[in-house]
Amino acid sequence: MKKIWMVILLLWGHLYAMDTQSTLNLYEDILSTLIPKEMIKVYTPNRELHDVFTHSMRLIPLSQPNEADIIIIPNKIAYENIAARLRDQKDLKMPYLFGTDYHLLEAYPNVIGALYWRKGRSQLLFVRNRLKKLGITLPDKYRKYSVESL
Amino acid sequence: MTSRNNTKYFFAIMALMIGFALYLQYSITKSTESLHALEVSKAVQYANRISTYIKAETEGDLESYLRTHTQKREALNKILHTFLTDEFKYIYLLKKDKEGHYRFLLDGSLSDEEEFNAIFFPKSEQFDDVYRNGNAQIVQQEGKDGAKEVWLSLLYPVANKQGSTEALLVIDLSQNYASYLKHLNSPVSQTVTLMQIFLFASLILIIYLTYSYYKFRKNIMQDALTCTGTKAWLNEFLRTHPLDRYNVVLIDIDEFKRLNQRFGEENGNKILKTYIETLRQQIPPHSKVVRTVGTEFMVLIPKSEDLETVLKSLFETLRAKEFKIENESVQLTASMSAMYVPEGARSEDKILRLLDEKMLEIKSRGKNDYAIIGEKRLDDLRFSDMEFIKKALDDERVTCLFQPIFKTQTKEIAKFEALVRFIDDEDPSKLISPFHFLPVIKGTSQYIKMSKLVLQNVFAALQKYPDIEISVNLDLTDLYHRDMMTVIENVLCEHKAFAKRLTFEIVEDMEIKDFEKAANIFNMLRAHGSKIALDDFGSGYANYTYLIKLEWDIIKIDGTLIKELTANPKRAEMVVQSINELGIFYNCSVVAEFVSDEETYNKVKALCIEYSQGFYLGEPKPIEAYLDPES
Repeated sequence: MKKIWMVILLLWGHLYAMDTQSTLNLYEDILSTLIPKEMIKVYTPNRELHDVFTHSMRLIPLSQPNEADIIIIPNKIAYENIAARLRDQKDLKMPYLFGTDYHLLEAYPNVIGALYWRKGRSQLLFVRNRLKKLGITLPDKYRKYSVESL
Repeated sequence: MTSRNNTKYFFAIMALMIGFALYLQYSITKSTESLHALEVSKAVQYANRISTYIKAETEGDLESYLRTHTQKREALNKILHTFLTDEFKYIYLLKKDKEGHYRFLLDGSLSDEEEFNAIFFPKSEQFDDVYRNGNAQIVQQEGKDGAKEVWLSLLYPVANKQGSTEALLVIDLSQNYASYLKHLNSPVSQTVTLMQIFLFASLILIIYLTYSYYKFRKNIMQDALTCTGTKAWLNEFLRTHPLDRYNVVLIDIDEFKRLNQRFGEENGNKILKTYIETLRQQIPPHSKVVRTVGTEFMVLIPKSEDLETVLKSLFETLRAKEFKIENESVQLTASMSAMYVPEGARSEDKILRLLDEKMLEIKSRGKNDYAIIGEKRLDDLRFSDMEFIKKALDDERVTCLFQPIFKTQTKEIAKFEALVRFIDDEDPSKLISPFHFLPVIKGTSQYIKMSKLVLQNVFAALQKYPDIEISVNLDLTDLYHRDMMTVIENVLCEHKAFAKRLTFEIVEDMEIKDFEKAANIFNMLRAHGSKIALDDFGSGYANYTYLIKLEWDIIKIDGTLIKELTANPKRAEMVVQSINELGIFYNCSVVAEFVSDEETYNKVKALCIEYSQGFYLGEPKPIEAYLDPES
């Protein structure tokens, strides 16, 4: 019986790891498209996502937004908090902002894209004119998920 | 049931079980699919009604109308709300923009309701297909990368008056509902699963039993020590491979018990193993080795090989082979009997019996030798089979042929010699010579049974023809056998009149040692009026001592001496003449046997031998052939 439980536990662990790995692969791919660096410093207040990033060989999850290359913002409250903390460091380069909610794209013109769920489907959306301002060109595979403006 | 058949049955059962399990799986899948199809058709009906309603409530271009009529849009969204159930998770209307992106026109979702014109990536090329072709489609969402909570999507085209697709009505069926449907079917599904588990367990059990069977079979069919076949293996092998394709050699290692005692059983086993390995190397390809018992092995050698050469080489090699054990070198000898298997032979039993007899002969000569039994016909084997003999005696298929004994000078029949024959059950016209069966039944109860039947035959002939005399053969074992003599005595008492016309010919195949006992028996037979003849005088044990020590009524000169009358006339005539004179001296009648041609007959006649017997004068025939030739 003990062995059976061990097998079930291992299987569950394996499935969980698979899910985590696919999320991580997706973020690694998207973020490396936006930031052409060997190692990308990422900050997110989303604890779950932060934990996922810890398994990456390419993404360095940060506990503070200040030195991040890109910030993954889960909601409007988080955006406001981060914006307040970044206001003080005008001399530093501002990190890119990427959302996990479509409404962040609507609400904040400096959010360049978002990965979110809509009608049970994962949705990736980039706003081309916002990317253009930052000098980012999307590769072909992501171009179909981009709109000129909202 | 052969092993090959067993394998077929096992695989057939396994295939049936797997087939049944697959059929159950197919049935349950089909049943689930038809349930799903029912739900999808319901969704199509809803989509049709919703589409008709939207078109009825809007005017002109759908997008323009909904963009400008906010209140109407809200009202339609609420109506779409009302269609939402556990089954239909999302209902929304999409429009393709100039860039090819889908945007929401209406959304009746309860949660995460999307605003008008919000962008949507359906992640399916089938959306474009439906848009282009105008045919409704079902899209599988469950299990798709980047989709969750949605099981199926019904894509229903909303066409404008010109018939081209203006928008797509999407009804997403929830994954929970798919699970519900699955559960709806679950009692059947569970039963099927249980049956599949049972079938799987049975399959495992069958595989295990099959494995155990073959393992057990191997133990029975193969000798564990020498890896040779066993008798059981041989029986099975001979079911599919006719024995007559092989010649057979029986090998018995001499004095192996002593070797075991000297070096211990473990070392003995090692030597035996090496011995058989050497034997295997020496025998021709496709030969088979069977351990019959202990240190006795049977080797089947294909008929394409020369038996004598193989046997000789085998004998020499095994005799010369040195076995190293405990720093000592040991050589083994073996006794080998071999046989050319006759055409048509299928069973090894009779062959083995003959080989055993030959083996005993070799062993009685001092072992460490080999011999081949001369070629035999299949009938030879059949007629010497104890089962055949027993059946013939039980069926009383015993008869006598009678060879006449002639008065030499006149060629008149003086008497007959009764010669036993068996009647073949397969061909009653075929009479079987005692050469086949006598050696097998000598000394057994079957022999006495046969003798009774012979005497019955003889007395029947004596009764039928009151003027004839008949002689029957007896050997010493018969004389010394209490039961046999009781039978003879009873018969003689019963048929007193016939006893006087009966002669007992004492054959020469055993030496008489107790002359007093023999004389007593002769006297007993004579007391009934019967005569005693010394058969085959001049050969074997029938020698002059018998003439001195016992009283005889008739002396029958052995055929080998009579044959010499033509081959070595001068010397043979002297011998035959002297025997004839001795006979006359002892007041005995003399019979010349084996008178096989006219020349011999003339010689016998010239020597004045009283009686003659032989093929020239008369062959063994049914007595009627001589006494009732017309019948």
